[in-house]
Amino acid sequence: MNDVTAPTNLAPARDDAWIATSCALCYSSCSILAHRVDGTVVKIEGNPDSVVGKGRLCGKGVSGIMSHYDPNRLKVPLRRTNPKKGLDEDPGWKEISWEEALGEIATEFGRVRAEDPRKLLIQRTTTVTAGRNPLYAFGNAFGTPNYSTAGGGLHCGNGAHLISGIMHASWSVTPDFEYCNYAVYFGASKGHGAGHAATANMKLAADARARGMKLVVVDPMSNFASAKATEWVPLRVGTDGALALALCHVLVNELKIYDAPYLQAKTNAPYLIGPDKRYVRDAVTKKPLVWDAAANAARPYSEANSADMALEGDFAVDGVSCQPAFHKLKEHLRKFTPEWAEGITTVPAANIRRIAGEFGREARIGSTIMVEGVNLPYRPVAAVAFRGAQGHMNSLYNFYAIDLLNELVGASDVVGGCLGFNPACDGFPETGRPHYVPKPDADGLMITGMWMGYHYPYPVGEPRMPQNAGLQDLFTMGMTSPFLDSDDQEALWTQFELPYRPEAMLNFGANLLMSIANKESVARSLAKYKFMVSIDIFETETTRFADIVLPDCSYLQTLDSRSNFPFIFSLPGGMGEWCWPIRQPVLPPEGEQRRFQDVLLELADRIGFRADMNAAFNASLNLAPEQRLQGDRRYTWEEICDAELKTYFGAQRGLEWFKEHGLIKWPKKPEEVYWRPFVDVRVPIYWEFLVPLADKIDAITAPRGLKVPRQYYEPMPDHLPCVSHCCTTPGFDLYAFYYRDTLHTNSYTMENPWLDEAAQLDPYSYTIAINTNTGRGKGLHDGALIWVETETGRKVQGRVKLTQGIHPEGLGIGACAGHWGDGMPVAKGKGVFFNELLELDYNHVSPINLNLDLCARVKVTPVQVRQ
Amino acid sequence: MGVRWDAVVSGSRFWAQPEGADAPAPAAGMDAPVSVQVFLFGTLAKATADRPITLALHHPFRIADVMAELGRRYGGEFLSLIAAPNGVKLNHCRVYVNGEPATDPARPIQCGRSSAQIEIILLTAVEGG
Repeated sequence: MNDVTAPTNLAPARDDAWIATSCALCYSSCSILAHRVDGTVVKIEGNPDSVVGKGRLCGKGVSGIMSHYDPNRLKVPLRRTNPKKGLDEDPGWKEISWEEALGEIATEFGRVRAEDPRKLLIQRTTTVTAGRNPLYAFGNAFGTPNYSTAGGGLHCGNGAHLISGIMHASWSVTPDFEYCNYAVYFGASKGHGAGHAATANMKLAADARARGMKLVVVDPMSNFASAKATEWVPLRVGTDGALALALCHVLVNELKIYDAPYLQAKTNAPYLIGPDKRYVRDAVTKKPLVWDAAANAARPYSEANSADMALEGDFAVDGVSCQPAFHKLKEHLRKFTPEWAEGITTVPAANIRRIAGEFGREARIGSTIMVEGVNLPYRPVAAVAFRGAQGHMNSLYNFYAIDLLNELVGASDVVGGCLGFNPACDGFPETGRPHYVPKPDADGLMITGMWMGYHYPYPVGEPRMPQNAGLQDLFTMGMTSPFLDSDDQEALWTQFELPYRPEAMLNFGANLLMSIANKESVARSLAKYKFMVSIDIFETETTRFADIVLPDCSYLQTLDSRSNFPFIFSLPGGMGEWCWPIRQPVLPPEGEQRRFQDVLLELADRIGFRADMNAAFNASLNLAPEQRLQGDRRYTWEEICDAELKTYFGAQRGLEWFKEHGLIKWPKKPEEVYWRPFVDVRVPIYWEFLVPLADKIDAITAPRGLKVPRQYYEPMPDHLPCVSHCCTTPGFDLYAFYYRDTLHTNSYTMENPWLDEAAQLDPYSYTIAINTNTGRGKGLHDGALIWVETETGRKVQGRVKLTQGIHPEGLGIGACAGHWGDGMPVAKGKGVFFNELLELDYNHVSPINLNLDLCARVKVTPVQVRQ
Repeated sequence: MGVRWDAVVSGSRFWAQPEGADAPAPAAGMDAPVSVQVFLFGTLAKATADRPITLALHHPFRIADVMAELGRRYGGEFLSLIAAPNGVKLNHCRVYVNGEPATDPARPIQCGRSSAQIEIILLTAVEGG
């Protein structure tokens, strides 16, 4: 008998929803809308309501659906059965239960924590920005100081982020696209579908070009940035700093173009420097002295009017001969003539003079502009650098010299100039949170208001006998360390008496074997770990060294309350709106996949440090008193996210509110975006603090057999050659470098079938680019199979693509290609593994900021094919 | 053209601290004994099996006093984890008093009750050690 009370429409309600969440195909974490129909995501688009992407999405973002549904995703926990670890060893995976996996991990990690928590290294990928906080909270609670972001930091961050922090209070820099008229990029890709705020900057950069912004791209290869540039300036690999120094020289000494009032008020240019290269300080207050022209006397910088501070001249203070820092810099720059730079960079001297002149004139020194009713300094020029310029032995000085261009003309965090990404925030209007702004130290120099790490880039830490396996507490300008994987790590640990050895690794998504340097060196270091856990979505080459593998959820299955915070990372700079999106689950886990955040909380409970974990979240998330996690209560990840969102946006806007709305935004104020005129801080055009830093490091290292090379610690930038520049072996006539293909993110997206197809259609993604004339001179042609070999015998093989768009001495390879593992079959065998050419030891590392040298002098030879 | 960079926005107090933000503690209750419970987390927790530990200080006390007392109890190695050689609290050493962040170690604490709860934890300081 029919039930007359039953619904007459028997078709179930259809699942058809657009869900606001965040991409994770690269670290920009653009806001997206995922279209789910009947439990399947059928499309991903940019979220037009969000500032983070502005409704746009790159090719990687729209392809994310293919990464999520990849049948090669990990779905169950795995246990290694082969005790041997090596590049050619089969792990012999055996499926195990979560109970078994977590039990074994808790036992091993618990033992390590009881013995010495520093023996744990936490390793993570940079691709998932939001992974940082839960992993760091776990590490803080566990008690280890050892973290790494694999190649992500070693290759791109130790110079770029450090100096962006010291000079702009931000993780990275960008032109103020809305107002900038003349931008010079040095190995940077801001606004070309990659990098921080990738898609938001795409629109901003495109609009700027349409408005008439001139874009000069300095790069050994004409690819993503240069393709949209007004002018491409090819240069010899690794010589960006030399070019920048010559541009500075022309501005200051030939054209006499510099913003004296800016230098007086906002830099340490007027600080008096003595014969010992140090500040001359007031005997009582210990503050740096300036020469007060009005009083005709030396006075503490804080007691003189900026306009009266001498920038040039020879003075005597208590019998000590001294000059202002700017005077020193101006004299220092004299040797960097365009003719000198032409010999180093191959850029014609006439072009250097022209570009310097254009940059200086376009800066419009002394001009102002009204922005939303606020009158502000207007300097519509920007010199911007990133990975290309800073990824060398001379990482620090390269970036420092480039940023000096901004500082000399006052184009620093003002309208049209070089902006940090949101270094000052007055907070959401209803709560005043988050609230941060740079502040001065005792010398008046800027301390950032917000940072991605918890030790700020300035003031520099006090060197000490190392407690960190990466030796960053000895080389205190370093961030990500090569010594966690280097060939000479044991020698260095012994030399500097590291009181323990790393024994366990917790890896979240990083593929170290592909992202750092040659795989043999990294493999040797990985094999030393007694116990390694890898949380990942694929079985990567690195995962094959793990003892236990845990299947993670993808970005469409997980929850992050701060997918784009801190704002100094991937929220676009310039005017507009603040925007705080979340990442929320669109789909449930498949198989036995679990969110890594839940795994970390579970491990904290099992090992017995939940109270420490709660305290770490309280501190790292800056939870409001009423939202703080209490005692050792077992909060869920949802509850922790809820507490953070309520902290910043009020009790009525917790996780449920954000799940419904996806994001919150509010207007930026001119005083926030162009904060620098409003805040009494100075930045160093003369890095006086490097002088005592070298002394302190040397006091530790010299007695143990390592002299600090002082030329890297001088207070003014110089051109210091890479190892590759010093090669004189006949036949090794090319400089190999890698570039970041905008089609791909790290090594992860090589597995994505759509992106792989696009890369195969691209003539360059999977080939070796060589200048047409150079290649023909060697008898090469498109498609020729060649060996690329270094002096030490490291070599890779690939097919040639000849192009006019590369420097005649350059050899360009797309980064992180050439997978060899079976766990990512789409990626396997595609492209060329550039990093195989890189040495990994102290001699190939910047001895000041530990950046790895990313170029290699090579020769090319045809591969002999046997008939 | 020709406007001094630093003269454009002179007089703005947009980023000025609110009045009284750094005002010292009132004199009332000076030298009154106060019981301070200190919770050490993460690496710092290895210094002692007890959590919390109880310190007897005089009101108003400062975080610098707490750090100094902890240094006396647990030695120079412990102190080096939370302070630079010149005694300045390290930035990645985070201190909370009754749930509120304490950023200035020299500022007198107004706990407003006979007991104060202080939580201390080290956050990751990858850069610079």
